Amino acid sequence: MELFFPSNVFIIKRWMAKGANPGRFSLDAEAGKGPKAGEDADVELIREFLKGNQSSFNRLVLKYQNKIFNLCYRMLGDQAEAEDVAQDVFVTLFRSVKTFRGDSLFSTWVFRITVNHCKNRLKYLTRRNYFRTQSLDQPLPTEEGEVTPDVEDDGETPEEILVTSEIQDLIQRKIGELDEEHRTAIVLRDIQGLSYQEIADILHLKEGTVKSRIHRARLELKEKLEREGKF
Amino acid sequence: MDCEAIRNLFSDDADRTLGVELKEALDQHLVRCPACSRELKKFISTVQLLSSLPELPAPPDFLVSVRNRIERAPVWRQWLTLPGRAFSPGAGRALALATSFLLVFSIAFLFGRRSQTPDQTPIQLAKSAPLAEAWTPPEDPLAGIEWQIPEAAGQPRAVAVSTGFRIPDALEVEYTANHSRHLGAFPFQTPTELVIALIKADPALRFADLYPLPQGALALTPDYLFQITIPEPAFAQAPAIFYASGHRLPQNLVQAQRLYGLRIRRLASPLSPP
Repeated sequence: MELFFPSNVFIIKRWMAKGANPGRFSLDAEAGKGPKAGEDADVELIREFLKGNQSSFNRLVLKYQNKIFNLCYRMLGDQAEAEDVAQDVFVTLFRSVKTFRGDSLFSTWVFRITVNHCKNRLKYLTRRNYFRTQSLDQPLPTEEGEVTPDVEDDGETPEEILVTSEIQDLIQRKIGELDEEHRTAIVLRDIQGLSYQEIADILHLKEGTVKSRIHRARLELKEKLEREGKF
Repeated sequence: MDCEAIRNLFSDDADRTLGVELKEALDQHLVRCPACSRELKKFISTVQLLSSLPELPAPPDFLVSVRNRIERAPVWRQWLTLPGRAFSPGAGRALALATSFLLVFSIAFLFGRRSQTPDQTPIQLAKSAPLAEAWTPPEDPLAGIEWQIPEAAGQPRAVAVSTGFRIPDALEVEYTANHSRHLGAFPFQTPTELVIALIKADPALRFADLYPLPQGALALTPDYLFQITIPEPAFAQAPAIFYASGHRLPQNLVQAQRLYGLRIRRLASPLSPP
């Protein structure tokens, strides 16, 4: 199937219009207020948490959980592993938030912790050659026996669902084939929508290094898609 | 510029960060070089595909899982990592003293709790609880329930223990900057209300007879008597889950059990033939 045949372009556009990632970093709770307002709110929540207010920590979790879970999923390519690592990130956050000195933005600090956790998990999984696949048809074990998850119907035709999920799966697979450095850079830039400066802060690299790494990663991914006959 | 130099500008072009002069040089080159033009098109398509990948939301019970994981940590580690804590030279002695007190109070609490455990059926317990007598359903969907407690002999002892737990005022905080939701608006002020609403949301138990318990409810069907309770820590977390899932109750008790940690016991119905 040619990915960019005219018949598919409409479907891709619809898919993008339907709530696909806008590719720009904006925290849900602070959308439209700019990063400064978001950071001020974070600092206030941390201050409250350090005074012993547990609900402030809950609010931090609720604020960042989607971003962190999504970053983990795109890095690891597995929902169960992503959930586990994302939980680890927040447990680490809970234990070490008092060491946050405010040298960088809080969001940068959280992303740095997340990237480090993902790298460690990738090494662990690679050593064990353990990358599971998860199907929506896979039953979930519960105390009442196994139940199959309900998948929300958003009105797409079967063909559209097939095309969009096929493209998404393919891209995710190809991201998973990139080496760790390229994968991290491309996920932070093109999926999380972070700026070069933010990525440089997260990875402790110079901005120029980040730029060239992202360029090489994009080229590599393009070549991989070409080899799949998608262009 | 040759093709290689031009292709090094593709990322900047995709990010729209090219300066005017370089952009002009790129455009001029593309006009006379179809190969680079094709390559740029594929490059831009790759970047667009990446940025259009949907954001997968975290699971609805993510917060509860995180809190469980934090609370499952050993007690000594929890104590050390509590905000504001730090070891000082005298901390070991204070810790030993505190542990001794904790041990004594725990033993006293456990013995007291055991001695207070009534030898009553859940229904007798429900009848004797102030909540079951005093509480009236405030509004739909809880309206119309008959609050008569039937006599049913031979039921096992209750697991529900406490009465009247309400959401503390401390949880009444603004939830997001965009939507000034307050957790105080959580419509279920007692565990009993929440559990009854969860039961009524399950199609399989829609027509069950409901009887309030201090920490939950009994649902009576022709075949089974379900004793459904929610522990207090889970009820304290319930508002966060409720808002995180977009003000929706779970569709059935299996989901509700996963989200809220309900305790569900299935007993033979007194209505079924022996």
